[in-house]
Amino acid sequence: MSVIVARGLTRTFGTGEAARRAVDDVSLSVEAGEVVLIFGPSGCGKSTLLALIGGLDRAFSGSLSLFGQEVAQLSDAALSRLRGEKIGFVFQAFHLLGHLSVIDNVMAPALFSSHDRHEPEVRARASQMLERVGLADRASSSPAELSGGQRQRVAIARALLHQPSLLLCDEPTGNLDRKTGEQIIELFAELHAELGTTIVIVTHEERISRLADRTLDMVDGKLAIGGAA
Amino acid sequence: MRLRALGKMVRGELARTRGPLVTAGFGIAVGVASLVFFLALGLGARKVLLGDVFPIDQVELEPKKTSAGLISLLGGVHEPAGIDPQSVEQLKALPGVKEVFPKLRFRFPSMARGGKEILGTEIGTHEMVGDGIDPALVAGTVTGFRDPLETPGAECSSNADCKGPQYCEKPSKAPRGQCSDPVPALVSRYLVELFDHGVAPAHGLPPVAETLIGRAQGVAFELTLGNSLLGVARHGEQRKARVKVVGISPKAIDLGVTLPVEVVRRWNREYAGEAAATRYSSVVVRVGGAGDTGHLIDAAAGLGLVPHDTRARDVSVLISGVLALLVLVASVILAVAAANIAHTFRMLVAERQHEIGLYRALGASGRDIRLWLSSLALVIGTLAGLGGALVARGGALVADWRAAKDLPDFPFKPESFFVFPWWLWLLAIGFASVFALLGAFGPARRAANTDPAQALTRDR
Ligand SMILES: Nc1ncnc2c1ncn2[C@@H]1O[C@H](COP(=O)(O)OP(=O)(O)O)[C@@H](O)[C@H]1O
Ligand SMILES: [Mg+2]
Repeated sequence: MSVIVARGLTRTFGTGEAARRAVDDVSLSVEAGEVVLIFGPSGCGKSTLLALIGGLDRAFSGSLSLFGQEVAQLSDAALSRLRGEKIGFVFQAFHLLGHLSVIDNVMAPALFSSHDRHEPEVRARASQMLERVGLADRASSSPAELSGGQRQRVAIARALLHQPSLLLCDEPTGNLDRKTGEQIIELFAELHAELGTTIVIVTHEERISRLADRTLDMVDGKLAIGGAA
Repeated sequence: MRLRALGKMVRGELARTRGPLVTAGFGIAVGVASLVFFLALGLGARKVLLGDVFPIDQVELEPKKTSAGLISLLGGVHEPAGIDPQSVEQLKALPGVKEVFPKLRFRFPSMARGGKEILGTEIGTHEMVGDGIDPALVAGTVTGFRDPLETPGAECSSNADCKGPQYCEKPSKAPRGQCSDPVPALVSRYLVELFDHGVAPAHGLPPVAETLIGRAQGVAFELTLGNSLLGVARHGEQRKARVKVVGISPKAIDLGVTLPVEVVRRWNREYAGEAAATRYSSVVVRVGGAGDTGHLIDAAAGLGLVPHDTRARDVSVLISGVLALLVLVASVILAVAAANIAHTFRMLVAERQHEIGLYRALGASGRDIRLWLSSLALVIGTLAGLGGALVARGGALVADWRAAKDLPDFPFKPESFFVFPWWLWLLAIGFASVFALLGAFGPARRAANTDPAQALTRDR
């Protein structure tokens, strides 16, 4: 089954003279269980593409379907629900909530879900996720007390709270030193082996490529089959 | 988003942004406090002025004064126009009319003396006015107000033939009379206030209000019929009757005494003839609300009747005008407070760009974000409204306390100048919430439309 099917996907910023295609006529399909790496230099449109296929940005032309549903035809509420239930995000800058404890950060997606009625159950699941990423003992810490690598692990635990079918990662090791980055990549590999989650990672760092089933190159908003994998 | 999660997010935000939110709520609270204070004061003034001093929901109608002019002066006999019972029935049938009570004015000169039981000395007036009303109109509010001759005593020729408080009611020229209990009388609150705050202090007499209400046996005095400072009745002979005040009633004549109508009818017949006994001098009409008064006055004009007194309406218009002005001032304060809320929320939303983007990525819909910020505004508005109303209540208590302590006693001085009906509290909270929501509306909508992609990819 195809998780992502994009045809002629284009995202333009600005109008008239200043119009610029950050994503330019991209066609792509990602199958369930695949790990896809999109590789390209800074400013080539990777984050923009990820926002599109994560249903965060609807101002595109072309067609895009996620889990068999046409994004253009979904209401904001339906698309938000799809995001909350089936898609997990991991960002370069972690985007943890500084005013919440680590465990509350991991539980944050439950705030917007209609399924998580039972708080103790959500908390137990969040603890389990923290344990899985090796931070069980930091549950009540503040994110500010953690190292970069630990913060990214918290963000990954949060992304996994609803056991998403699709994990979208935007330069997940971009803010980490080499060794910590390796550990995060190792974690992705393990999670993929355990859960079979479909993973799309965009990055400009070569070292992630060994994880991927498939590597694509992105240049100036256009996608080409990569040579690395 | 579920209510519990919403509550959690609102609580979290309140804790996090306490300072600016309290400041924003403070403006709303000040606006609501002044609004509630003014409204309660206006309601209090209305209650005293229109409830006790000039009742707005009742109109006293009397025949239009035909210019008596020279002819009647020359003729010497001036027969005042009256209202026949038929007109009374017609008034009763008018829409909006709740109660009609005809009054029969004294049509004979009279004087009064008495008051020793409660004042310690006799006081009197050389010119007594009064009227008679149907006892049914005060049934349930005053006891013992009925025609004493409904149960007449023994035949008599003088007071010596009667026992105890009874006196011999013997009409002019009649050979014999009947023993009668003292005639029950009602006085107005207006008269009592005037006496207590005007007459009594001037003459070093004690106030009577408490005594009158408290004493079951009432105050007795002697009424001289057929003679007064201004002259002697044309018919009949001067004689004396006993009267006892049985209560204070809003139905009583402002200055004078109000007796059961049958008593006045007999005395009018005795001293002024049959017409004076059957044609009412005025009717008091009670309507459902101030709004019905206008229709009533129009309809009454068709029967040749005009209002006796239009002060009530003038006062009502005055109070409403002043109140509207004060409410306008309070509304301006609230509008400024709403602008303040808008500013605070704009800052809040700007500061939370990334966070809102993240929430969107985690599954929040635009509606969830709007709901979150609107609920936050609603909570602030509700708390500010309640706080403001409590401040107004406290201010009113202080004002009443100062008034009781520092203002001199004056007629109709109320215990409280304010009225706080239950709906005023709801109004306060409602107004505060509406203005807070109004202020937060724009920023909340902008937050809901935040482009999550941009919030997450730019900066940081
Ligand atoms: N909100 C935006 N408004 C205007 N231009 C944008 C916006 N977001 C991205 N861009 C432009 O689109 C291009 C691709 O950006 P981005 O997707 O962030 O690249 P990458 O993630 O590969 O570094 C860049 O030239 C960037 O300036
Ligand atoms: Mg990027």
